[in-house]
Amino acid sequence: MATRRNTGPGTALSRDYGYTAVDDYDIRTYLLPALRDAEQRAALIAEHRAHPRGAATQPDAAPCSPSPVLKRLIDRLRVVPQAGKHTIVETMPWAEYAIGILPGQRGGVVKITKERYRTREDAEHAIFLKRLHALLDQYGIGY
Amino acid sequence: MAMNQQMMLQITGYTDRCSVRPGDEVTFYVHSELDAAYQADIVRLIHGDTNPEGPGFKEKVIRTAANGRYRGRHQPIYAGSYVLTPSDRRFDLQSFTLCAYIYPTTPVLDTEGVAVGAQAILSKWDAKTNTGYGLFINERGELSLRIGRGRGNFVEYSTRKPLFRKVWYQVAASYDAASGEVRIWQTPHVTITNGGHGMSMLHPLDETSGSTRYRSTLAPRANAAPFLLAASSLQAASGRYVYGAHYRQLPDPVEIPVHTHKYNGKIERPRVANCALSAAQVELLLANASVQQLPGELRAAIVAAWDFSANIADNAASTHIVDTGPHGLHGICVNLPVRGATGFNWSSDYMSFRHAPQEYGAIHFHDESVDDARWAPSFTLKVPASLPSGVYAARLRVNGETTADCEDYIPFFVRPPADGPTAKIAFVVAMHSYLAYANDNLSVNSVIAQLLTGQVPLLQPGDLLLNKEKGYGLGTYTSYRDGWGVNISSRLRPILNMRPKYVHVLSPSVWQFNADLHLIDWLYAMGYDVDVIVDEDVQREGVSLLNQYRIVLTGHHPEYSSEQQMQAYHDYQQQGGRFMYLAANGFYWICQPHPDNPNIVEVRKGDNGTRAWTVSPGEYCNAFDGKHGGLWRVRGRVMSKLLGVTFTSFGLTYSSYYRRAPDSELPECKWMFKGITRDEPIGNFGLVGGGAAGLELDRYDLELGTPHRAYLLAHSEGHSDMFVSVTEESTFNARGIIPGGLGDSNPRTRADIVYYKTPNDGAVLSVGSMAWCGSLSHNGYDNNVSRLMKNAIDGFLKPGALP
Repeated sequence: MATRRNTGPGTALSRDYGYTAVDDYDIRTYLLPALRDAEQRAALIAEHRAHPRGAATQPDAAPCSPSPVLKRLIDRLRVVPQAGKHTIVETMPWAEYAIGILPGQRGGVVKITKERYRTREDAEHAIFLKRLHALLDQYGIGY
Repeated sequence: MAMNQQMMLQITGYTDRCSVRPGDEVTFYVHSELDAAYQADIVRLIHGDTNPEGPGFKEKVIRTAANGRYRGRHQPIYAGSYVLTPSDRRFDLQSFTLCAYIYPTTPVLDTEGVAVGAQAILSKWDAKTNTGYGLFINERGELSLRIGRGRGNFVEYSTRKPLFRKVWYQVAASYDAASGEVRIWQTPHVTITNGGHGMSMLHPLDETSGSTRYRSTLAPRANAAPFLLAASSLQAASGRYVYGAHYRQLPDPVEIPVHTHKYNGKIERPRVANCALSAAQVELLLANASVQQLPGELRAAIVAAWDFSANIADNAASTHIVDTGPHGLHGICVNLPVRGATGFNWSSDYMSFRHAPQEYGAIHFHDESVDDARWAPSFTLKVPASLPSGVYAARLRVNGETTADCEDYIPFFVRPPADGPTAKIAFVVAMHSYLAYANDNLSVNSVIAQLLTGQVPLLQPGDLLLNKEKGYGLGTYTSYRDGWGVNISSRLRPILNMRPKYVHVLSPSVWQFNADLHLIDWLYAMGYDVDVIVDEDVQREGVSLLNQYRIVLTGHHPEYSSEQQMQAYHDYQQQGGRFMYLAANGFYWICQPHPDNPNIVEVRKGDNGTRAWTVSPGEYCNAFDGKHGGLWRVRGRVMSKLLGVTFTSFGLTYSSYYRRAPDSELPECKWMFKGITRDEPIGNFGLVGGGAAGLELDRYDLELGTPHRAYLLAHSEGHSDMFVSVTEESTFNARGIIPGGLGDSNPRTRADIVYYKTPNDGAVLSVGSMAWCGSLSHNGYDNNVSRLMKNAIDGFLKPGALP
């Protein structure tokens, strides 16, 4: 069989350059100023720790909603591609939750790591930190 | 790893029917991943939510003759749609021509970037022995021809030009055994309307247009494989058959192969000839849907010429594929490919195959579709004559183990005996909605799921098996790997998110089947007798079934409904029935069962509505009934005409509570609030997001059909900005536009409890929230949601006029 490759033209457009460029602009403009500041970064992490999955609205109190920067941050972290994305696997109902890694495709196997948490909230926050650290690494920000 | 830690589910299954009466038989089909034996017990399901803050899991083992230990066996799923024509000596050709129009949707990669591999278009090919012949798309996305005499003795020739995704092509290949000449060509056929790209896609044309000639010394060897469209045979005989139900045209069972080389995309006008035709002859052969008017000489060369538009009438649901050639070699659709799809000649002058079947002569095939798992039966239950109506399941445990990866429940529903109801209250199981959400696999596949829910999905053992099995045929919240939305869902396969104990990706806790058990549990806890019936019963028997009951209850999310069901609920309300809609976003999408098989439904997600995908241009009509699919709102039957409320917002996250509205103090209404003070918040607790108002919300709207004499009893408030407006309400997106706002910026983001009377002492009570039933059990069932429900039901049970 010939080794001919039917690849596309290899233009920047075909690699979705425009989307990537604007996404980068948004991160630099709206997120990095807070993330570069150790104090602000710690405050965002603490805010997430308090309500990793949200909370029910109670009478006479405002709905639970993250601060504007945290909101933008968690929404951005949640839309990373599925392949290699962290997830939560129930290993013992209501007692133990493992961190898993998605295969990114149907038919693949979800990898279950040895990292375990007692609550779903703990696992959610652990994944938030992993995603945050990956973003910080991407932009060369120490933590 | 500790012994009690669970991994992938090892056992699952399905039944042949979901609604049974005492005395009926129901057969179970079980897959045991590791061939391990299992214990089966019939159980009555009462409460499926295992949250330790609620009543906990409740089941009752029922002694039946079916309970026992069974040998397990691994039962694979053979997904992927194709057309089969049984093996016939007229397909055993030396010289031949194969041709068609095709529209490949994964010529090389799927939408996740995974290589699809070789795909067969027309094949008399045995992939195990490499015998026969077939027109393929090869691994590089080029049209190719395979000719084989066995084992390594086969050849493949290609056009050496890639086929583009979402472009129509005329394709053909011929072989002349006398001269050894092979010709193969692909010619794009792009119009302004027929594909996914404009004409500029073909500049320069020679990047994708190709014609090649070869010399072959190999002629095909005959084999026993059937002739397949959109696949080839890995094993000519599989021991699995199609017949009955949606194969009712077949006088006898037809054995199907184990298939491979599954194709994603459309095919139209496939033809087989018994000699090498010229390009001009192929052009003539493909010029018309039917070949009956062709010159005699050319017609004599035809082995088969299938016309996918030939038996489109009021619907395009048939699995019968008409051969218009001289031999009548008719085909059979397996795994329900999408019929009535727009063809290479679709002009956009028509939007329905009913109006122009000649422009809807394509079939779209998908390599993940499943109409029936066709597993071997494992055991049968004869429903005991004394078994009360209710929700039941076969509980399966591998080797008797009780961990979640070794245990599965296969639900079924027992309705009362044929001689009449056993209660004044009926609960209608929303099976069509369960089917629409079946095996969504969103936890693994969907990027947007984490945004919709504001959390990382939780994977349970069933989710791990589901992903391994590529969704067991998926459901209508998913797209096939070519990007097309899944529009057909079957119950004849394991549905792993229709289970007790299941935590659903679209909820902070439970959803649909498992959430509906909240209501079942409460009804029993409060001492009510209730008959359980299924929406497919309503489909078949209509208002006469509903009229046997004083009160008809929905579950928490009857989102998908057929025309027949809509009519039955309407007539019930008008004829004096008292209807309690304990839900939100109900009767929203048009959902049509297959005319010959109630276990299979179709949904078209039109270009309006809060939806998982959007149909392709021109494909708005259901194949199953030929009518416009999509929102009931588009067909003039917005849900508020039936319920007094309309879908307004959703936030698949934590919930909120209700406040009473002034109408609740009117003499006509205050009886429902006995024991509830004017100012107390209602439902600031619960097992679904911690509140009674949540997940999806409905509001009243006088402009959209809420009756003018309806009462607003209560409304929710305080939904976070995770709650978004439904897309059909917002014609423009702009910051500050209220209909498109969020929970903190759109006052329409609320659940309304609406009540109104209907003729003949009938009534409708709608709660407008999917989280309502999750609050019923709070504080040992002593709470104001439970109180309001009990007041309403007790009042509705009384004969005569309502206050």
